[in-house]
Amino acid sequence: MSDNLTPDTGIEGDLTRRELLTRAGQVGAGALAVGALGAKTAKASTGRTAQRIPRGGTLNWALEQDPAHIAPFGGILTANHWGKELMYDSLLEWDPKLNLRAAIAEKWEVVDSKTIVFTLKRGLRFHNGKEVTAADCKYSFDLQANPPAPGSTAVLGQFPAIDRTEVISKYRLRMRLKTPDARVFGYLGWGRYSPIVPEGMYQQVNPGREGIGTGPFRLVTYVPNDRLEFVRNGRFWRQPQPYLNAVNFKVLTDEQARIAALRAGAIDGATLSPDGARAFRNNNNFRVLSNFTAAFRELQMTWKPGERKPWHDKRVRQAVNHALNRQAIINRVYSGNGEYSGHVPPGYGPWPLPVAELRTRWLKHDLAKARTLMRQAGYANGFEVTMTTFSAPLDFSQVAAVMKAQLDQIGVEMNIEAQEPGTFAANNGRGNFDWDLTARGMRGDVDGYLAEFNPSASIYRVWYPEYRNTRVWRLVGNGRITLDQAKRIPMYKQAQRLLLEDVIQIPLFTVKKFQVVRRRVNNMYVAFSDFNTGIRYVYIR
Amino acid sequence: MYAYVLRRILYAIPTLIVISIAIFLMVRMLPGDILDVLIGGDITTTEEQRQAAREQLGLTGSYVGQYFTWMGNALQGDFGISLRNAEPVSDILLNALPITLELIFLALLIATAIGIPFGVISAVRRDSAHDYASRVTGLVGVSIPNFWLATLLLLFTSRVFGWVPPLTYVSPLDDPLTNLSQFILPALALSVFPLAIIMRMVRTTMLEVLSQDYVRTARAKGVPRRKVISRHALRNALIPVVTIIGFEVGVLLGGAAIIEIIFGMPGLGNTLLQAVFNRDYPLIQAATMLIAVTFILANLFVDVLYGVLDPRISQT
Amino acid sequence: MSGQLVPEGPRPETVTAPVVRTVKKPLLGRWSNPIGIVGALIVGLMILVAVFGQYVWVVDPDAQDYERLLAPSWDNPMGTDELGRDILARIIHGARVSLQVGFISVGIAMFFGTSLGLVAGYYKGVADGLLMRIVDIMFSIPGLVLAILIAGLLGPSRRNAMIAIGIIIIPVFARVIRGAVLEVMGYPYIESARALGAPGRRIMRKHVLPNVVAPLIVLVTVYLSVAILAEAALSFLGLGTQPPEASWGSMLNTSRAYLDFAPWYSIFPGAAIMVVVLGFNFLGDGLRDILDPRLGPVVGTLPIEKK
Repeated sequence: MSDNLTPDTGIEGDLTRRELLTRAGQVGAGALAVGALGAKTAKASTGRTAQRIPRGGTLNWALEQDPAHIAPFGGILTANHWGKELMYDSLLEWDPKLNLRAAIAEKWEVVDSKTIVFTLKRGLRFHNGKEVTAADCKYSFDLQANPPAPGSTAVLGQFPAIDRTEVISKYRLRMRLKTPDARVFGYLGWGRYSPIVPEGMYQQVNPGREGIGTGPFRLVTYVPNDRLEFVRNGRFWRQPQPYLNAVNFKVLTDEQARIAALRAGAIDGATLSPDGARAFRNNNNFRVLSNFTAAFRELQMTWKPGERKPWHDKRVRQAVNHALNRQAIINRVYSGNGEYSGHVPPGYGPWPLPVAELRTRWLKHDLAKARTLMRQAGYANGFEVTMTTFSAPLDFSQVAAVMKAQLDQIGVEMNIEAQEPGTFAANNGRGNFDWDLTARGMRGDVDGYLAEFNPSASIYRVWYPEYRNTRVWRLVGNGRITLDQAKRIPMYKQAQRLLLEDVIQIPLFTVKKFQVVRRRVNNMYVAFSDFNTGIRYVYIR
Repeated sequence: MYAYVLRRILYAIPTLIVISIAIFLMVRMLPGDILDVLIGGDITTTEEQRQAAREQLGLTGSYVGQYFTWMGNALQGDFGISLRNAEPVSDILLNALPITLELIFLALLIATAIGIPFGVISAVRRDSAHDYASRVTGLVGVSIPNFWLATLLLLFTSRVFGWVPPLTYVSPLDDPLTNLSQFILPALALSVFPLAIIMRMVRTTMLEVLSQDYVRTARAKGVPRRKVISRHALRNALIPVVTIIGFEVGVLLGGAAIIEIIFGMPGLGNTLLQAVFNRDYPLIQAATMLIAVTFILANLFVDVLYGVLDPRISQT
Repeated sequence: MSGQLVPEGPRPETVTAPVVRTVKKPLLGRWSNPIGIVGALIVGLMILVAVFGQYVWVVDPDAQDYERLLAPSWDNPMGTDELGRDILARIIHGARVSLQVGFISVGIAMFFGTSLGLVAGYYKGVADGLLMRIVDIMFSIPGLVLAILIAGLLGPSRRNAMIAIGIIIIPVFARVIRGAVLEVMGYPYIESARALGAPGRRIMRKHVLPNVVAPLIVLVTVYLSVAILAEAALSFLGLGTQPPEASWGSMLNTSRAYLDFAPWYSIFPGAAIMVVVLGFNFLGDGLRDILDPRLGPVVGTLPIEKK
C-alpha cells in the first residue's frame, strides 16, 4: 500500500542550529528531506545522461483547472502555480525528492538568527536577456511582501517574517528577519510565492498574462480559461535542460474530455482519477504514473462560543473518529489508492507521524469503542449534523456518502450538502458551517499544516475559539521560531499527537494522484507537491 | 418600420437598467466574494490582510456607490477588469463571444437544415411511417441531455477514429476547415434539442397552413402541389421557426456552458459560469449584460423578420 | 376554420371553433389517439414505479452492500454503481425524485406564469407593459446563472433546484398564456359580453380560462420533461439533488466517469429519462391533437411578442 511512502526518514544526526543551516547552504540538505519519493523518475536531474537524452519535441499537457492568472506574486490557488512554474525560479528549489537545493542562489550563509546572506549564481539571465542581480531579488521580495493585483495580499499568511532585503553587491543579497523564522527556507524552495523577476517587470509587461523569468520555458501565449504556450529557454541555467522545444497547456476541466484527448493523442498527458486511469493501465501506448500528494482529506468541525453542539464533547469527536473506517472509504472511492493521514500528510519529509501509529492507534477503526464513547457522552441515540463539501470534483460527495453510512452505525445522522466552490469557500473561511469535508494542500514548511492551531491565526478565531490547549499552543508557537530543524521534529510530532488526542479536526487520508502520459513521454513524475514540476525534466522519445 | 424598431430599442433601455441592477444585487447577495474563493479556509490570513485585499479590489464602500461607479464607467465603454486575473473584461468577452456565436450559428444551422425538411415531409405525409419515425426520433432528441451526448460523441470518436476535435481555437477566417472540425461535434450536441423542436413545429404549422382556405383555393385553382407547399405553406411555417431561433439564441448564449466546458472552449457560457463560481463581479455583470443585449437584439431582428415573412402581420 | 383538409383529401378528425370548445363533441374518436395513449401509459407506469416500486424491489437505494461497478446480474438487474449501490433501487427511487422535480417546478411555473399571463393579457395597457418587461428581464438572465444564484442564496438542495427551475420556466408560461388570452380577447363574443356589462372575473373564468387550458396542458407536458432534464444539467454542476440521494440526472452525471468500463451505469438512468420524457411528450402531442389540432406551435410561441 505505502510503496511510495517512507514517512520516517529524517535529517541525520543531531546538528546544532548553526551547523544545520550552514550545512544547508553548502550541501543543500534541507527542511523537507524525503527519502524515496519520486526517486525512480528523478534520474534526469543530473547532467550525466545528457548525451543519450534526445532533445526537441512539443509536450501537450491538459490542466484540470484554469490557472486563473499567472502573476508571479500573490497567487493562491495550486492551479495558479501550474500556469507559472515552468517560467519562474526562486532562490532555492525542491528537487524531485523534495530536498532543498540552490537555484538562483549559488549558496547562502546564516549570519545570525535574523540575518541570511545569499550569493547569486553569476551570469544567470532572464528570458529577456537581462542578467539576474541582487537588485532584481530585492525588487521581487518587495513585491512578495505586497503583491499587486491580480495577486492578492491574502497570501501574506504564508509569508515568513522577512523584514527587508538589502543589496550588498551585484551578486550578494542580505535578508533580515523580524523574528527568527524556521519557515524561510521552505518558503523559498516552495517557489509558489517566491519567484525572482527582473526589476521593473510590473511596469514592462502585464503580469497577469505575461511574465519574464529564469525558468526552463518562456511563455509566448496565454489565453485565460483556455491555454498557455511555452517555448524552450535556451539560456536556462541548468543545462542541458530543458529537453523539450515547447510545452502547451490546455485547460480541460472535464475528465472525460481529458481521457478522450489522451486516447486520441491530442494531448500527451493529464491528471486523471484512479478510475479514469484504469482504462490506460494495460495499454502499451501509455504510462500510468502515480504518487501520493500533500492534498490529504480532512473533516473540519467548528466550536463556537454560545453553542452547545454534541461534538464539543471530546468523547463524541473521538467516537466519530473511531467510527470512520478510512480503509473502507479508500477502497470504495479510490480503489484502494490511499493511505491514512494525520495533520501532516505522510510523505512530507520527517514531519508526519508514522502511518503504522495512525492505523493502530489514533485513527483506528473501532466501532465498539466509538459506541461506548457515544454512550458515555450521553449520545447513545446519536444526533443529527450537516456536513458540507465541494460539489466538484465528485469524489468529495462520494467520500461523504460512505462516511454517512459509517456514522449511521453510531447513530449519527449526517446530512450532506455539496456546495459550489464559491459558497463552500466563503462558508469555510468564515466558520459558517458545522462540519466540512475538505482537502489540504502543499505547504512550504510543516508550520503551514499546524499554524491553524496557533491561537494567533484568524481561522482559529472563527473555527474553534473555545478550544484551549496550552501545550499545543506552546509547541506550535515555538516550532515556528526554532531554527534547529532536528529540534523541531519532536515538537511537531508531539503537537500532532496532542491534536489527535483532542481530535479538534479529524484528518482522514491522503490519496494517490494519477497522471497518465503517452509512451513517448519520459521522465515525468507525479510530484508530491501537486505541481507539475516533472515537466521540467521531461524528454520525448 | 423604423419607428417601430426605434421604439423597441428605447423600450429595451429600462429593461437593461433593471437587469443590471438585479444582477448587481444578486451576485453580491451570493455567499462569499472573490477573496473567500482565493483564500479558502486553508490560509492563516488576518482580518486586516483580508480587508486590505478587499479595498485593493474595490469591494468596499456602499452598493449604491459601487453600482454607479460601475455604470458610469460602463457607459464610457470601460467595463472594468476581472477581479481574478486583472484582464480587461471587454477583452475576455471579445474573445469568448465569437466562439459562442459560431457554436450557436452552426447548431441552429444543423437544426434548421435537418429540422425543416423533415418537418415538411412529416406534415405532407401525415401519419405515414415516415411521420411517426421522425416524430419519435425528434422526441428522443428532446430527451437526451446534451452533456451526456457530448461525452458519448467524444468517447466514440476517440475510441473508433482515435480523433478528438483540435483543442486550440482556430478562427474561421484563418483556417475554415480546422475551425469546422473543431466546432462540428459540440454544435451537433447542441443542435439536437432545437432540431427536435423545429421539426415538430414545422410539422404542426404546416398542417395548420395546409388546411387554410387560401391554400385550398390555390390547390383548387390548379396550382401544383409542390408549388403550393413551397410558395405558401413553407413560407408560413418558417415564421415559428424564426421565432424559435431567436429564442434559442438567447438560451444558448449562456446555456452552451456545459458543452463548452466538455469541449474545453472558452466561450461565453463557460466564462460566465466560471465568473459566477469565482465571484468575479465585473465579469459577471458585463457578461450578463452582453447576453441580455444580444438576446434583445436577436429578438428584435426576429420580429422584423416576421414582418418580412408574413405581410399579414403589420407593425403599428 | 371548420373542417381540415390536407392536399390528399379530408382528414379523419374534426375541429371545433374556439368559442364552442367547451361544448362536447363525440369523444371516442378524439380520444383514440395512439400517440397520446402510449404517452399516458408510459407516464402512468412511471408514477406506479415511483409510488410502489420500492415495495416490489425491496433494496435500500443508499446501502453500499455490493462490490462497486458490477455488471447487471440476477442480484442486481441493472448492476451496481461506483459505491456498490444497487442501480435498480436507485432508478426506482430516482423516479420519485425526478417526477417530483418535474411536477413541482412546473407547478411553480404554471401558477405564477399563468397568473402573470392572464393579468397581462386581460388588462393590457400599463399592466401588460410592466409585467411583460419583468418577463423580458427574467428571460434575459441566463437560466444557468439564475439557477446558480438561487442555489447560492438558498443553499443547494433538491427543493431549491425545483424553485430555480420553476422560476426559469415562469416567463415561458407567462408569454404563451398572455398570447392565448390576447387572441381570445379579440373575439367578438368577449367584446359583446363586456358591452353587456359582464364582470371581469366572470369573463375571465367563463370565457378566457377555458381557452387557455389547451395550450397550458401542452406546455405542462413539454416542460415536465424540460424540468427533468434541467435537473440533470444542474446535477452536472452539483446544484441539484444532494448526495447520497439518487436522481436520474445525478446518476447520469456521475456515470459519465465510468462510461468506458461500466456503460450500463449510464444506460439505465439515460433510458429512464428518455422514456419519461417520451411519455410526457407523447401525452402532450396527443392532448394537443385532442384538445385543439389547430393549435399552433407549442414551444415556438414561447417568448416573442407578436406586435
